[in-house]
Amino acid sequence: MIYWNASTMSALTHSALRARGIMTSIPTDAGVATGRPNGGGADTATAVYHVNDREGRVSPHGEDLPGREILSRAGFSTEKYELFEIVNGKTGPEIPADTIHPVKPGDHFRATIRGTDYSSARA
Amino acid sequence: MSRQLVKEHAARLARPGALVRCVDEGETVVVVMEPFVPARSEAYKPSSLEALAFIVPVTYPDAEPDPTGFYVKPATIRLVDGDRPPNSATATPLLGEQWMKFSWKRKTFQWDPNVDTLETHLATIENRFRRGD
Repeated sequence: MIYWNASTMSALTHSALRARGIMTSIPTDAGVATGRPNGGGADTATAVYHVNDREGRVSPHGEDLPGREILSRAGFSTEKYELFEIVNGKTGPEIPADTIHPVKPGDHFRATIRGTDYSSARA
Repeated sequence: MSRQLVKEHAARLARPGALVRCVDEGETVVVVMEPFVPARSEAYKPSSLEALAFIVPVTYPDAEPDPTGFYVKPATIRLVDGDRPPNSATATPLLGEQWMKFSWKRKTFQWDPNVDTLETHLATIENRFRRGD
């Protein structure tokens, strides 16, 4: 039996996630990096936010983005996933695809699989 | 892929004040988060749960976490009006204890091992409790 808390992530954990394209750099802070969001666009200074455990990139000063763009920059499709704020560590209000939301470096969001039917049992 | 990968991804399920542990159970790993405070916690009695658990096959991430549902303790959790939450089953055994199982079904989109992780699964579980029932 193994216990963890948020402070005990190992370097191996990061390596495993990077290997699957989930984490492209270690999110030690909201620091600025030079890179291109998801491989596109010009080589500019960007900073990291997270949707679940995937990285998205924004301007170091933050950006106002529609929900679909917040998802897209982290590699999620609007068709399949719903986006939520995190409030006090818990899932907060939904951010609809067309709603503009401020995104700052270091922000975290949650994405859930759309269309999960919580009222139906699966035998 | 491996039992170890399940445990590494489980280690990243950081929630304020919660600890995560993994228990090997046959060809699965049971991921347990203790305690678990649901969204809209005021809709439930008790408002803070002893634990949340879900089952992950060792073939994760190619195979998804248990798609039939997840487990919470105490098994006696109720809505504030005293009713049992919809689509839940009390006294469901797991790890030698009694849990309440919440059942669900993915209707539209399926698990994608190239994108989805335990974090996606947990976020989808948490979304269940935003309903407040």
